[in-house]
Amino acid sequence: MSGKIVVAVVIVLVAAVCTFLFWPSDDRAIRKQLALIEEAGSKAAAEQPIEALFKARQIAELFADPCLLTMEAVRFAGSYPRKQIQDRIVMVRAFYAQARVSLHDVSIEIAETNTAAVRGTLRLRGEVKGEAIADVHEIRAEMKKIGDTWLFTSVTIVEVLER
Amino acid sequence: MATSRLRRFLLPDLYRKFIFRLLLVALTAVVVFTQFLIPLRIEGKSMEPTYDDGGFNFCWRGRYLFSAPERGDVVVIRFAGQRVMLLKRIIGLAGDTVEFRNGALFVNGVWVKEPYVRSPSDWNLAPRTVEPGKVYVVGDNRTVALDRHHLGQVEQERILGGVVW
Repeated sequence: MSGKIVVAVVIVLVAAVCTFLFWPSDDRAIRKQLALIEEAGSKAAAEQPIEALFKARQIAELFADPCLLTMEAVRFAGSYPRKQIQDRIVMVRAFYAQARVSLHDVSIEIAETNTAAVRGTLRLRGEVKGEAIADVHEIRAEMKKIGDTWLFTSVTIVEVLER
Repeated sequence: MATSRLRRFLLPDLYRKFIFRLLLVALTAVVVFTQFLIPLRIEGKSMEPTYDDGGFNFCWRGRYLFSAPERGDVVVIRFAGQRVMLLKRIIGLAGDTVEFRNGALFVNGVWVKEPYVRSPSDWNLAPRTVEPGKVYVVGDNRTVALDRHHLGQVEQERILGGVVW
């Protein structure tokens, strides 16, 4: 009898953990979008041009059309259509022979109005003309749920060190 | 005798006190190494030769609890959190004017000897005054081109602590 109770408790616990881990939520949907940036932003040395174009499109589709981009370090802010963002991503990725993009310390605050404030550290490690290059930026972004998809409506590259 | 002692050490009986001690040690380790002494794996060459690429250190968060950062201190600067941080040296405090002339550092117009810089540098940076609540930081490796080196003034509240050694 007690054995059956133990088995039942274990099953309930496993079910609870699975529900907690895999239940669809806005937080999880946003993290999935961020994971796509890491995946599509990274570039293998043997990447083919068609794959590069596909990945740039994947990333561009995460942005609302248009999206406000701000770079605090150069006092620049502008609203860009998705196509222009895609072209810029193609250019930046082409600059690197290989690259690895990763996001760390991501915090997500979801408001009731289908908007979210996202903060994190973007790390880029790559190779340009045989030389290793590393860069780190703090990113502050706003996302909006449009239909079923969370899209970036505003992205700011925070200036941590001001020359 | 020795075998049984070794066996007891490696495979102790899971009695209540032992489990409690184990949990306490684990909890203490988590608190200490996430809140007070944060392990750092150094990546990059911007602090060479003082701190080499691939080196290891700890960020001591209590470093500036009772004292303010000073010129020459090596500090840990956070971005959005504690996973990726910068290791830099303070060269200027709020109100100071910092400048580089052919690689030589001048603070408030006075040349500053930097024994930790071992490589020649040709950096030229026009004088700039550090804003209130900020410090000016730079790496020890000055062989990197100035435009590719992370340096500048940073809010003091972004300083997470100092390195242990």
